[in-house]
Amino acid sequence: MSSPFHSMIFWSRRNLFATAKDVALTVMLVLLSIWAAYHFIHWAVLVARWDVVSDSLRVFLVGTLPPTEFWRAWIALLFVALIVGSMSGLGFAFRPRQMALTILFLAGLTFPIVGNNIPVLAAVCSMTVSFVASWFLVSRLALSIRHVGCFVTGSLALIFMILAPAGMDRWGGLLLSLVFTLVSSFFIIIFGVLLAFGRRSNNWALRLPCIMYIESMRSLPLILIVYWIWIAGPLFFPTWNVAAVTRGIAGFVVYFSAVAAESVRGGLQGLPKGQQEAARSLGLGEFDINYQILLPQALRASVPALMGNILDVFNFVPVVFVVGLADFLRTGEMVLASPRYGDRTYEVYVFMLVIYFAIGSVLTFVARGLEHHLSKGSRRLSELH
Amino acid sequence: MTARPRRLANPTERLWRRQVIRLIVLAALGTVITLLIRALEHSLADQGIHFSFDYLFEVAGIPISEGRTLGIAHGWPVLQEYLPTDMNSQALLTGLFNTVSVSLMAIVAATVLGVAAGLGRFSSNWLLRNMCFAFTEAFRNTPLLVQLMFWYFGVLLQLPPITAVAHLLGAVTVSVHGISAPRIDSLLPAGVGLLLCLLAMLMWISTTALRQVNRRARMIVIWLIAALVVLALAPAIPLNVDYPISGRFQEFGGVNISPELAALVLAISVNSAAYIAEIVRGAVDSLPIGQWEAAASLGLTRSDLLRQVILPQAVKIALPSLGNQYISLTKNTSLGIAVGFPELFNVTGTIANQTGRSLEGFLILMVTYLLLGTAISFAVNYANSNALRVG
Repeated sequence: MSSPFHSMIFWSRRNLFATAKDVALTVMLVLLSIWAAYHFIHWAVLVARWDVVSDSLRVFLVGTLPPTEFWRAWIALLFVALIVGSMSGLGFAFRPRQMALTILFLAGLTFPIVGNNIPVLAAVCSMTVSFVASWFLVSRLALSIRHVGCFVTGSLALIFMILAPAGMDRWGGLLLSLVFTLVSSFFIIIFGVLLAFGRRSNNWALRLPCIMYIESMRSLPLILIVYWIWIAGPLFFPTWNVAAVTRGIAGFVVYFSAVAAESVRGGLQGLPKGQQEAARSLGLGEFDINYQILLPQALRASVPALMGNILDVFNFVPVVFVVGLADFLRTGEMVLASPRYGDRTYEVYVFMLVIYFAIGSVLTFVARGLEHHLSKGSRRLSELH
Repeated sequence: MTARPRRLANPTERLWRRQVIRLIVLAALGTVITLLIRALEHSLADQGIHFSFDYLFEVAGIPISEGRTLGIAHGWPVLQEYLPTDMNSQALLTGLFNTVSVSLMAIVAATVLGVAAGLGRFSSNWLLRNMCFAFTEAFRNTPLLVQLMFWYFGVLLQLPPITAVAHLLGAVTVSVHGISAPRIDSLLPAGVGLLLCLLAMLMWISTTALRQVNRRARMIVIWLIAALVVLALAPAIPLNVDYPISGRFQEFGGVNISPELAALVLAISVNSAAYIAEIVRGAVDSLPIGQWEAAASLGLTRSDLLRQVILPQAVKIALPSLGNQYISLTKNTSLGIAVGFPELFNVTGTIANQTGRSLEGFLILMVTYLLLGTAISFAVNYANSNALRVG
């Protein structure tokens, strides 16, 4: 009775055909999914002309960056891979077999798009290698969050220095979306932590401005803040000539640091009061209590929420169209605006949605993994006591 | 991670330190704000602009494709069609009207869809459960703006042209110019209808309070509401129905929903529904499993179990997060600018471009969005206190 066939029948009896209503529902849903899947696959394989994606891949990835400056984009992406790899190494143990499977899967997705373009393939391979190597190193050497933090800061500065000479208003495509997300997330977390501590301060002169700032920012639409900082920058600082990218990042930082502050505050509120009291009774000063005792624990507790905030940042980057930047979505619209590809609406949007969904799912997956990982850690701790 | 133990500061010293920090913070804030205002005054003076709200009462001169504005007729404020000869303030009110109406439509649609998808996660049917999961993941992990563009360019602008307009249910027409449906014209003046609606709403609120006291009294009030509605509609019988007529370039008559409005409402409500589904799932998940088991052992059917035991408790847990979701939904209507829908942010931006008054426009927008958010929190808090009272 325990053959796989029987257990399958048992499973479907329980999960698909439990009652008459369930049978009807299952049949309906199966028919509906077959119908939808048939139409989608039929369209994707026979009707859709995917050459628009492979022909315009350059535009999708880097926007209007001139070909002589591509090497900058590749080096920047290499550092992005290093950053993402080392951050993953911080949260997850390195598992060779799972890693190999993931890479094989991604290779299967990448090769049909890239084709036999040797330089691109070489670049993609080196990015993969640096991603895996940084994950491996951080995980095996058990580097602390401080080391990785220093490394990430340095890498971000390097990315900026490498890309800036190409002309900041020429950044575009997926490259812009990624760099934009990374740079703004970096500042968002720093300001978010400061605001969260400011909000908890005993000193009203610190607390009130922080509360006012956080609450008013959270009640405004992001697009309004980005647009207004873009408009008002030259009004406040007429002599400075700030690039649109920087102004866009400033807008994101202004809005999302208020959001991140709430995430960090959630982590701080979850800490037992005894932590602070114990630290105080040891004779630590307020700064040391906050910086050495509360911050590391609060950060650990709020990592999943902060990852969610970073996903929000990435998902809202398309809003920068309002200040005239050409991010991934905008480049897609640019491709569609050319007369050659005017009728490829579905191909372009499906491509963009798939890429966005892939990156978004990875971020969500990492956030869930971290949450699980961290909650496991705390349970082990409580078992010790 | 070695913390240097420090000498414990004595209370007087701490008090002084706090005062000094306070002074420094306030001085720094004051300086920064003053410097910013000075810089602003300087550059505004250079451009020959003076800060004032007088422009609100000048003629707007910009076209707005849809929405209504406040005007004055016979000494009474009325909702009327916006005209380019109206004032800037009336143009802004049109934008506000559009923002509020999109938000209301999306809130209703998102709640219905989101609660359904959230409860679907607890279905006994594996397929339904996983389809609901796929729905939430797909819409939460892709940008709202891309979804909006897809709805607009990929769905609504791909509808048949007006010459090959599709007819649904006999009278509803669907074309690239939007969706048109017959409109039932009431013979009552608009003001009386509005008053009746308000009265019915007040009575409905009173029924929630009556639920505790007396079921019979509640039924009487509900019948009274029904009678009121019939009374309101009675003079309009035979119903005066205004059918849409397809012209060569657009639909005339009836209720017309523009493709921009439809795309915005669809995108925002489906996206928010995915978030609401997660909220509902989290709330239901947080109930102890004993609630399900106890209800099942009492012999309740699955739908009774959900409606009478699980949902009333889950609502209480979910309401605060639902309120936050409604607020962010309202803020997200500002993405309508991407498809050219004339909501508040779009209209304010256009006016700011025309008049050069971006600072004043920003202040107006800020106050308006703050008020909208506050209104939603109030409504949710009211519902919350009501839910707590009932349960």
